[in-house]
Amino acid sequence: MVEKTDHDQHSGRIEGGIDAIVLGASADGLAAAAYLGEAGLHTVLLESGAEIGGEIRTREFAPDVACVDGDHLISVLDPETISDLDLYRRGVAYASRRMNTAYFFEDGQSLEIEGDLINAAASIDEEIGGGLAFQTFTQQLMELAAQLRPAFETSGSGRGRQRQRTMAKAMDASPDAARRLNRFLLSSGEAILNDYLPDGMLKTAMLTEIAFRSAAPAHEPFSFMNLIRRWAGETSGLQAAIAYPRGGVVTIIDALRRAVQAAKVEIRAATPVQKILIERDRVAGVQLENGGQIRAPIVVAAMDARRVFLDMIGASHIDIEFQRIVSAANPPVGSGRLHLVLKGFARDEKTKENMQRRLVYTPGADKLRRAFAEARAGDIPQDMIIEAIFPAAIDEAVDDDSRQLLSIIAHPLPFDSNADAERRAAIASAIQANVEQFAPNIVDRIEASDLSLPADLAATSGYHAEAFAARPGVMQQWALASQVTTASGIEGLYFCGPEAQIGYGVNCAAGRIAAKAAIRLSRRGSAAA
Amino acid sequence: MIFPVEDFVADAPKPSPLFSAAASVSEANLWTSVNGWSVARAFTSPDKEYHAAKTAAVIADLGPLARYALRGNEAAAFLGRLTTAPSARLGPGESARGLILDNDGAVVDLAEVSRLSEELFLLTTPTSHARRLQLAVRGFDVQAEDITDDVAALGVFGPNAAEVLRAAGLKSPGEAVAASAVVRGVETAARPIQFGALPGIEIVFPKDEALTIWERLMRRSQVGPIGLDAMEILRLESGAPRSGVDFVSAERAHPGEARLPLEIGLPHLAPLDRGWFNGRRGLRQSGERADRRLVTLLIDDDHTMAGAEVRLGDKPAGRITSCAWSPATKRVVAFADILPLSGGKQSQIAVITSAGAAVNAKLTQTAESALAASFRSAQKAATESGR
Amino acid sequence: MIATFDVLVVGSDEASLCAAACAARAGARVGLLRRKAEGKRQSDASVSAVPNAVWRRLDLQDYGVCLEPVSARISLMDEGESVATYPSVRQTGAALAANGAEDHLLWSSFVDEMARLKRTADLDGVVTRAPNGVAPLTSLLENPQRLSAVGQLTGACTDLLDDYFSDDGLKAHLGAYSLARAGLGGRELGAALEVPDSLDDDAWRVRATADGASLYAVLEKICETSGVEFFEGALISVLTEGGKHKVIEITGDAKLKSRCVFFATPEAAASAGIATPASPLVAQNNVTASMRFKLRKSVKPPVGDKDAIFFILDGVDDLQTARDCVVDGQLPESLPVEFEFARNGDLIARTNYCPKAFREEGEWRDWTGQDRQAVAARITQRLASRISALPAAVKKSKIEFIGADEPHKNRPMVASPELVVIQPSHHNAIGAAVQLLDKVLAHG
Repeated sequence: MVEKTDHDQHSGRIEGGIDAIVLGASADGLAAAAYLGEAGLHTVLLESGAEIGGEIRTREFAPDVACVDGDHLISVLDPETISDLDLYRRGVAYASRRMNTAYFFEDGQSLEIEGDLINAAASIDEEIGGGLAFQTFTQQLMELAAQLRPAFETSGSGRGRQRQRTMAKAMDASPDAARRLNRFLLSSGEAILNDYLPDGMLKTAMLTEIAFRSAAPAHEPFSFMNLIRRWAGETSGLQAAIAYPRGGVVTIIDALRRAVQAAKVEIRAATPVQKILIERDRVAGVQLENGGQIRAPIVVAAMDARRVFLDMIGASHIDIEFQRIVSAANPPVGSGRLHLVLKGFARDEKTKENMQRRLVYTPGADKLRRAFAEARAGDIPQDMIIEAIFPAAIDEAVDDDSRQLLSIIAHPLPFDSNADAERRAAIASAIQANVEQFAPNIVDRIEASDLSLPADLAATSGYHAEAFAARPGVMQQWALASQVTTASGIEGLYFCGPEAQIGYGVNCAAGRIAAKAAIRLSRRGSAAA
Repeated sequence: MIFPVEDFVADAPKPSPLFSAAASVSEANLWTSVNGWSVARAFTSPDKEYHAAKTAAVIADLGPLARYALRGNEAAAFLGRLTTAPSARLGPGESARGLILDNDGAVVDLAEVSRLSEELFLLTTPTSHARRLQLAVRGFDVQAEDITDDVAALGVFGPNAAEVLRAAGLKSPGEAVAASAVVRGVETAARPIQFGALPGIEIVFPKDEALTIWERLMRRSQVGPIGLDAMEILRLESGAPRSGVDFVSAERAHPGEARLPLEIGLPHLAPLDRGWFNGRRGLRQSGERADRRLVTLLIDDDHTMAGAEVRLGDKPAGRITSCAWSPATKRVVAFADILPLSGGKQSQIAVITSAGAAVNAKLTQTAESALAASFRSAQKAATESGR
Repeated sequence: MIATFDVLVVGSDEASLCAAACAARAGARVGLLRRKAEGKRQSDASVSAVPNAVWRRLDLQDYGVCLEPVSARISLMDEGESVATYPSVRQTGAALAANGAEDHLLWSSFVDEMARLKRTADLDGVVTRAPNGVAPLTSLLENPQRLSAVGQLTGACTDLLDDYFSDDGLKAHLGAYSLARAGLGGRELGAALEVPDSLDDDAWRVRATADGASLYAVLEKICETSGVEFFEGALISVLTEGGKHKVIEITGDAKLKSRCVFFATPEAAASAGIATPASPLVAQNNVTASMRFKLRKSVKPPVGDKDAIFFILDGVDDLQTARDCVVDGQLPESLPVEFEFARNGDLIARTNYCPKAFREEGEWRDWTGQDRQAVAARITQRLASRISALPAAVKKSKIEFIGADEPHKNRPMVASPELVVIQPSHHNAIGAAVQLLDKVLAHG
């Protein structure tokens, strides 16, 4: 995947004639670069690491077993980016388009909810009853979520703002909708669910979705918005679906890379940037660590805000209040990723079918509350949410093997920016213990295991570890995103790092929005000239 | 440096280090509170003190101003960010005025920066900015220390200021350069300051020595103290706006109250062509916009009050923000916050008196407005030659 | 003929009376439902200040009311440490300076900035859930400054304080006085909103002077003369059907009609068994215990004077730990306790950190007599840890619980914003109640 590693060639010299520089080859960075290139701008994409993809990387961690770091499922991939950049033609295909989720509860019960939520009511009725309540809930919520979609696309200016205004106007026109929205936005997940889903299992399942990868438990305000945010997204053309791409999430990166190459953007890997040059309140280019300079009137930064604004620009060029916002404390909670290689799986159809679902273990509302309290206090919780998939079982393209890779995301964990070996072992075994809750005796079948924490993702992506802490309350995310996308007013600088996005997941909308704003500036500039 | 607004609902004002000395020479015994410190409004009468300042020299207790010592090799860069003063260009001993702006370019406060040595700066501001400093030092190799409570400060103004200092055995700073010296074991820093059109010197020293230094000055030279009321006349005549009176800090402003440098007549303190400072991008975006103008008026009246309405032609245009009787012109000199004037209307300015009558007022040039005007014309010339 | 009102105010405290009196003076038909009085009215604890605007509406000076602010808010920390704040910003700054921390320089900036944040965020219309007064939140997205202030105020209290201060004692103290009245924890989202509220001038609690009239008695009199109709008993249900005026059932088989039911304080709603917000944002799942000690001989607080209000806590994390326990159905070990001295010398202690229900071996259960005793013992023990002379001086004590009667399984009456309005602020209860009721009646 290495494109070009020409450290020496550029050192010490000044390079010009470039219209735009993109910093960081994350999904958003790649998307931005592709947009810029397609618009005819002479664009260079700089990545500090040897490989592209941000934190999403393929890695061989046991003989013949490769895992993909970062996200393992797709839930909010921006449909506009997919069609604009023709990603389906460039290799994005889904092994599973709307994965069913099997919820496992602490009392040993389980519940399967269809991936197509609107049509899930029938099977729920069959299984446990209460389908109608669930249908009302999903319908109302998805409607609102779809309406709110523009609100989750933050940008300092431009068409995104326009869309938000249109949305706000539509909301204002209906006081009922506004009141409902206020309630959904401010309330805790528990409070809303109490009204909609009296049934224990459905309620717990939804509570789990709300708390998963969030910094706050479902009984705290704004938490309900986590669900709305996710359901505002769509995957494979279906709202609120969860999908597994053929070949893993890393194939999204591959497709984006093809789009970047087709747009004639030059990718330079292993080219760390030391600072972003600012002259007369405008971006002037970047200074490379090897001493070289690349001059360009546009820089699109797709790395974390701390790296971009505090390290690469520095306090002496950003506003004081802006600096406070960028360096504000992150939530002390994070997620952990555990990969297990398991041996000795039966190959019958039933087992295979079971392994094709998204598996979610939930310890229930009470234990989750305690888990969040423990994680926030810096302790490893005894109970946690587990989201697990068997990529090889889902993905037909992968060879059938009696060895299986189990890919797990566990939440909540304390946010450790540098956990030592002992702590890591304790975290891994706590995660395993929770996996055991729904897959007994799994420990005996582990052939290899690999834990990755925010600090590890930071090491591969070159971000600060804080960028991988759990997302704070949606209000704070909004506030932060609306600030970072203004880039402290520096003209020609556009930001599409993780802080520009509301909610988690590979999305690319921030990259698209940043690139389009940059293209507008560039056209204005050339029109003026 | 100009005092900020008085604390009208004074919350137990504390005595400044010079209080007991000042109190012992005060005949008027008229006090107020500024930044929580007791400050004399008058010692004898404002008239006498004003004349002494104009013809000889006076000393004033400058203790209530907020002072910060900044140390470190990035102190210049830090001050260049916090204030609009050209800190990096100051040589040791030099001082510069500037403004503190918020992100949008609106005025938070006035500031004076003095470079005492390569890595030591003194920042003086009318009001305290503890939080702003706390935030602004993040990311800089700077130690910011609030020394307001640790030092005493006094100013000597008037044509004879330098002689007064010499007579007291204090080393007088040169035209532009601050000096520090040890006087009988007391460390002092003296720096030249301007109080309006009056040359002056500010002496900053440890608060424990406050009385010694005051005594020395009073005994060795025939200098009298000056109170806030007389300083107010001098301030208005020189055209220096006062925080909390003539403009509201952007940090405390309600919607519509925040002011850009140009709007308070201080565009020359925030030039866009120097290095970057906090708020410069916001200021640049605001361009030449000026929704309001703070102007100095001479009013043909004997007793106008702050708050009086100002009219342009027969339309209300704003209010008097502060005023004083100017013995020199036998008129009231006032600051007025009004709508921007278009050329021809200058002759039609009127102020409504408390009796409801309209009296004539005219714009007047002050030391400050002259600086602003020459800055603006230089700027205009630069843009024209740029074309 | 059933009595018919524009509003039925439910509550037996000063804020309820004040809201009722103001509404009645403004011409509304007001009913006031309060608990049956048990015996003689006890000497009052401090109350939230009467904002000037409310005072002017009722002309309280005509009734001989004279209020003075409590002298200080004092946190009694572990090992004899204490932190105090005063009504005067300058006095607080000086007291903090005496403690030696650099934080004193920031105090006045902090107070100013919190007021500014609150003003900029302008969340009042959004979070009070007043009927018809909904400001759409989507309008927030238009204004980055406002959004940024909202972001700060809807975050954790600890983040807000950590960004300012370095001294743990001061942070614990500020956290306690912002959050304890709501029973919140410092790391909880939405808790930061309480900080500016607690620093508001009108959030500073006051007492009637020794020779002044009791505020409660005066308000009662104003209510009577303004035509407020009093009922004694408790709310049973609000029937949502019917026309503009809903039928309301109260104890003693009585019925009355009103357009809406108004709770002037979250406590009033909690004691009526209504699910209330612990803050404008956070759902309440705590029970308040209030304990009054009659003393044989007078005791002295370890620092400060008897006109102050005191808070007992051991460390900066106490509130969050306590809150976590409450959420988890446990009684906190180091229970945060607030106490003060009434005019007659009684010691009044209170804590909001009791769980709504208890969880034992994974099962939820209701309150028992033993639990009540355990809370009383814990409060007494906490007090004794700071005032060692107290146990010997107690003649008798009485504990009261607000919100513990409701069996936790029963779904509480839903506070639909059109019908049942609850004033969510724990600070400046009187001002906020009067303001909100005005809004409710204006939209009626």
